[in-house]
Amino acid sequence: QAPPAPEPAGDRKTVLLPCRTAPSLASVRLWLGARRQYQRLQAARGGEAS
Amino acid sequence: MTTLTRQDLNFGQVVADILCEFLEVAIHLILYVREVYPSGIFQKKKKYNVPVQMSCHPELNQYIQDTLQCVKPLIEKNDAEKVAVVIMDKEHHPVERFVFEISQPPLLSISSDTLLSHVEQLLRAFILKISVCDAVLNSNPPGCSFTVLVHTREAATRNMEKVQVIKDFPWIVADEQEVHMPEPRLIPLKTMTSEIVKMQLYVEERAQKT
Repeated sequence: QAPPAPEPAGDRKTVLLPCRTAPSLASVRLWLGARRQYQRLQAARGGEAS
Repeated sequence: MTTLTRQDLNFGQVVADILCEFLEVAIHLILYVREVYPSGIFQKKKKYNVPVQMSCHPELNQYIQDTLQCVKPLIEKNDAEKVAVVIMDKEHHPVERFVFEISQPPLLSISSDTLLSHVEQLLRAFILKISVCDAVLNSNPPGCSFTVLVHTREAATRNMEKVQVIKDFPWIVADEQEVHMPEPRLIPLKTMTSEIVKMQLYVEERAQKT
């Protein structure tokens, strides 16, 4: 039995991934904490105004 | 009823637009369901006429959009064989892989009146499957992260290079550590066949996650 023909050069299967990484869990948690603090502040200001 | 042929529209572009829009929703939902990020960054929205959880973290949203913008030219040319959302542990070893296997069937003609509603109906079923997939998966270890892998051919990467230069979002060939998963458990989630695209979604889960 003949061996399988080699794939044409440059047409091999490849798996790619981005160089950049997604935001880290720590940075997202920090952002969420700051956002909640801001929302609380906004709510308190709204309460004062009314 | 209007019948469209390949000459009327750039079908590759239509398919890429539809799939990238779907993949964006699917990635947000996977990150929510698999608890990669805290649930507080997600908000309920309606997509494909069903409620989904979408992130409101600007940097994460931009990252997902940039990733998909780079993948789009490959889908457009039918060069993206698989798009995988990979969840990795703290040591950057994959623990779960949500694999979207995509192919575009040869197309003769389609009916424009039924196309979009039919595809939307099929994609909705994928979203519903993703939203309940945690019932069949084991919990992930704490501190996981994620990435997106694209299975393509070397010759096709040139389509991507143009986009990644514009977006300043370079891609590299994945190494063995990022791709290999020892003894994965395969969980088929959903398959669809429409006039413009065939897609299969399955999860590969590492046997020992901790």
